[in-house]
Amino acid sequence: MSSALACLALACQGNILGSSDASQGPPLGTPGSGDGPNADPNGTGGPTDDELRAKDPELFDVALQYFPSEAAAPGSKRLARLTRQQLDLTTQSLLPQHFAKSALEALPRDPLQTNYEYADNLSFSAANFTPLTSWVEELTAKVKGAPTTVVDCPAETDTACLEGAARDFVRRAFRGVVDDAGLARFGSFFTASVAKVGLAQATADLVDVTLTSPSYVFRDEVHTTADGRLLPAQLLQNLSYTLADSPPDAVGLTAPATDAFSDRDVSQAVEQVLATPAARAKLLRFFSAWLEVKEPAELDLAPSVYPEFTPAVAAAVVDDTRRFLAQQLASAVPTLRDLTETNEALVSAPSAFLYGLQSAPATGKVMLDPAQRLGIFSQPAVIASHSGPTTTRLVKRGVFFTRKVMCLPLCSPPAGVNTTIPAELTGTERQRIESVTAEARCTGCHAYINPFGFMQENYDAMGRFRTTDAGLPIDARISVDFLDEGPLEVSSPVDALRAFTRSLRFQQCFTRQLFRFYSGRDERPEDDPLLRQLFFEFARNHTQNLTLMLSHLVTAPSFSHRAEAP
Amino acid sequence: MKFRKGLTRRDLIKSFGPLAFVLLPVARAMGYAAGGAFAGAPRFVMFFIGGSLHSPSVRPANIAAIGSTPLAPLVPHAQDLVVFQGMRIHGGSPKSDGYQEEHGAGLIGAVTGNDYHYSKNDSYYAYTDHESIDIAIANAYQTRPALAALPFKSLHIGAGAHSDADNVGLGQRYISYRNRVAGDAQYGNAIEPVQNAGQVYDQLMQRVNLLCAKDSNQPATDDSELVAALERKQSVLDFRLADIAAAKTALGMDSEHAHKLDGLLEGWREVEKANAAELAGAKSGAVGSSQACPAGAKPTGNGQNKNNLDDLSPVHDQMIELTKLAFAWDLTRVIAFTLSGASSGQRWPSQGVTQAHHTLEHSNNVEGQNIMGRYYTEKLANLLTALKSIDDGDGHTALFNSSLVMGMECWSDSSSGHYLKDIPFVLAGQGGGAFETGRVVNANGRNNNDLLVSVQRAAGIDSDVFGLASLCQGPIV
Repeated sequence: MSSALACLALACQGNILGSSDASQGPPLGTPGSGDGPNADPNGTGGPTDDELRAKDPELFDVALQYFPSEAAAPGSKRLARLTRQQLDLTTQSLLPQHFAKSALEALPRDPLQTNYEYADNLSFSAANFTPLTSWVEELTAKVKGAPTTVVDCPAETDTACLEGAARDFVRRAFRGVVDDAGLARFGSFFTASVAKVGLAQATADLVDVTLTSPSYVFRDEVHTTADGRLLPAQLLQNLSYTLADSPPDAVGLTAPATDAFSDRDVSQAVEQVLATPAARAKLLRFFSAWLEVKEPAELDLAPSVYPEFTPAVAAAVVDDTRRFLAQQLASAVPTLRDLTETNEALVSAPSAFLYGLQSAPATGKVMLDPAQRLGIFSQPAVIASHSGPTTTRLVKRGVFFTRKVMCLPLCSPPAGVNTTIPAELTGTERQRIESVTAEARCTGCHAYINPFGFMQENYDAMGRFRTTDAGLPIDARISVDFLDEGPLEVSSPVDALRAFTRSLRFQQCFTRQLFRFYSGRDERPEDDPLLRQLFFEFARNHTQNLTLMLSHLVTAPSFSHRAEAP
Repeated sequence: MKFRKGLTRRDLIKSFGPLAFVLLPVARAMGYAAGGAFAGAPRFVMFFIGGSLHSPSVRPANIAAIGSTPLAPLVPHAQDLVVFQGMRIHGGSPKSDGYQEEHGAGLIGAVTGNDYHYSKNDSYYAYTDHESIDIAIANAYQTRPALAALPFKSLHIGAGAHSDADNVGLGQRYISYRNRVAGDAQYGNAIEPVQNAGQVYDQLMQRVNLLCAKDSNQPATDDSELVAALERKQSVLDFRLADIAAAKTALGMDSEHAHKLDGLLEGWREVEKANAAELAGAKSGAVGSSQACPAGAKPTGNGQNKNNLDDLSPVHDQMIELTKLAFAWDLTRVIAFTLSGASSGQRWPSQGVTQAHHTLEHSNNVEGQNIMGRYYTEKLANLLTALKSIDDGDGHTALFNSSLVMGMECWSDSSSGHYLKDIPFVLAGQGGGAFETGRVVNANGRNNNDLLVSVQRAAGIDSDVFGLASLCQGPIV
């Protein structure tokens, strides 16, 4: 282990390689663990550790270093509130004629953790309860004007038809996660309402109570079979929401007629969902969240210093990156390398100047100077999201890379360390930072932060390439020794980005980040066997297959099997 | 607004039965309540600023000297203030009881005076199991029938109510917590403030409209239609509540999963309460108060995810007006008002402050910190002015009958500092007669727990302990 890592181990508590600490669950394969008929020693549903080791012993050893725990366990049971995005797509699918206002606009943003929507932080409170009910009220007002779009019966006295229509609607709304007693309850409510207040009002009330029911706004990862496997309807909606933020029927999935929903059925369903635009759209949202790409209005560059960075430019750079992501992720087999190692970018008229272009081509596609740009980390939207307001914010860029891109742990500055950058210091930003972070107490963290920041100094706060800072030549040389591949010395941002994004450390971090986003939680030690497999297959031969990683994530027994949290 | 002495609460109960508790706020406005409605039950406001005042700049020798400090905007209210010097959070610096000096500790200590934990070794992940002072007072008021009948147990509002560190961990975001119960997620006991002024307005006006005098020339049949509509609404509510109960049963009533539905349940209970009040009013034919309904347009400010005080200022002002509305109509006695979370990212570009408040603190930018400080004290001053404009009818203004604490977290004069000592807390209002104000009080190293004990005593809670007993000596004022 390098001296920098050793220093960090002294300064910080916790695993140096960044795995989170949490309680252990019962290992799969032991009584009461919820192990299903497809038990496997690692509980991953995939190749065993021995099989992985046989394929590539060196890579496996690295995988074991990053994900050392060997005891797998089923996932924890939980009731997960739908995200605003999921509420949108569910409601759009259920009531397409009446859906108008997005929940993303109607409901306040949920608290984010590491920029992700974690299930534990999604709930209802005074802050979002009324916005939810108001949003539903707007929908039900439209339904009242056209009740036959929900309940189409020949007569208001045809009780059998009314009850049947209500049951169908509720069954669809709840994604099949409702028993006969529940359907009967809603059916009776509806037929009694029709008799009391008429069809239009009764239909509006039915939609109202359905869309505000716990069975609509939450998804159930609680009810399982005797061996701990999620019931088919629960599993189906878990798949569709995890992969595509959508209800099952919106991505072409239907619950099986019986309780039999085999592993093969699951695999087929996963393949089907991953090919949908909804799944690719969610993958785009993951990248935006992981890279912390801000909304245009949130980009924080001071007009006094960067007058060229107008609101139109801000909107353009964010849109350019989103379109780039959409394009790259639409391929049949999208890979991470498609994003990190391409010279291609999408450029628009307002953003062209940031690339040194006089104008944008009609197609928007440009091949950028390979000496200046490489992949998504060199795009202005990503760079500007971690810069400003008046400088490149070298340290902040470095902290982002350390934490979110390489998953190196950072602690608060040690007590007694002066982190102020004296105003009287001159030179480039790099020189100023180097002069105040040179002492031994700082190097524990700045051994990471500084190289990641220095390598990006060729991009100003707007993301425009530059060769000077404060009138002096920019020095982009870095030298690090914390990579599994050995010491690295490079002198350009492109060489640095290429080396880092090809490193195993980067790929293990990406594995963690994808897991966190899609699972809606931090990883725990009992996730290590699965993460080991995901990382191994992702990194081997630099495959970096995104949809394959997602497929393995949701076909693992820890996804389909649940137990109560210890 | 003048009040006639006359009907006592007992008289009301004899005349109206249980409905009296619903009518009490109405009755007070009409002048029928006996005097002293706020003695022992003053309003409480936690007015929290995340980037704290720069402590060395806020050390007036006496109350007359606050004009030369960032407290200057409060000069018109000097006689209504107690400014504390030398007060600590969690024993202050150096470390005591093993607590760390940092923003999460400062924030949680300021509002709970109690211990906290870290889920990871970083201040971003601080969390607490204990209730904050606003919730403690709100809970205490719920044990008193007249106060339990008020429309809202407490209100939680804000604008810019987040921390710059939120996207790492939520330990520096929340100022209101209830006691943790089994099954709560890490921040499951934290209370998210409403940052949409329009939403707060709708919530308040729904109740105000039941109380205020309305011009009406509608025939009696309208009331029967209204009653029918409200009864229908109750019927639908009954179905909803039964649906939630069925869901809880299926999940296991006491399970953490069932617990997740409590937010929905509480929301519908509030709706039910409002509906019942409206139905009772419609059925009884009560004409409400003689006080005219508030005029003015619905505010539209939204303070969510904003850091620019130029954008936040109008929203803060709207929230101040809504606080005034809530108190004028006695809709609640407890409000938690978040102007910023800890490690504040707020800046004020029009005043030349382009760096985050948190950055100003750690780069020892005193001028910048004091500009920001004056922003927040000006907002407090605006709130005090608003409360002073409310005549409570007992010879006092709403400010006299309130306790407001300007809460803040650790301060810094350098990069290395996260000081939990010499926090310049401010208490405003006389707490219904409990506090002698117009002075500077030297806490001599006592903890803010003693300030929280003071406000809880003013609220009729008979205890000399709030938070950790080891940090308490008793009421400080």
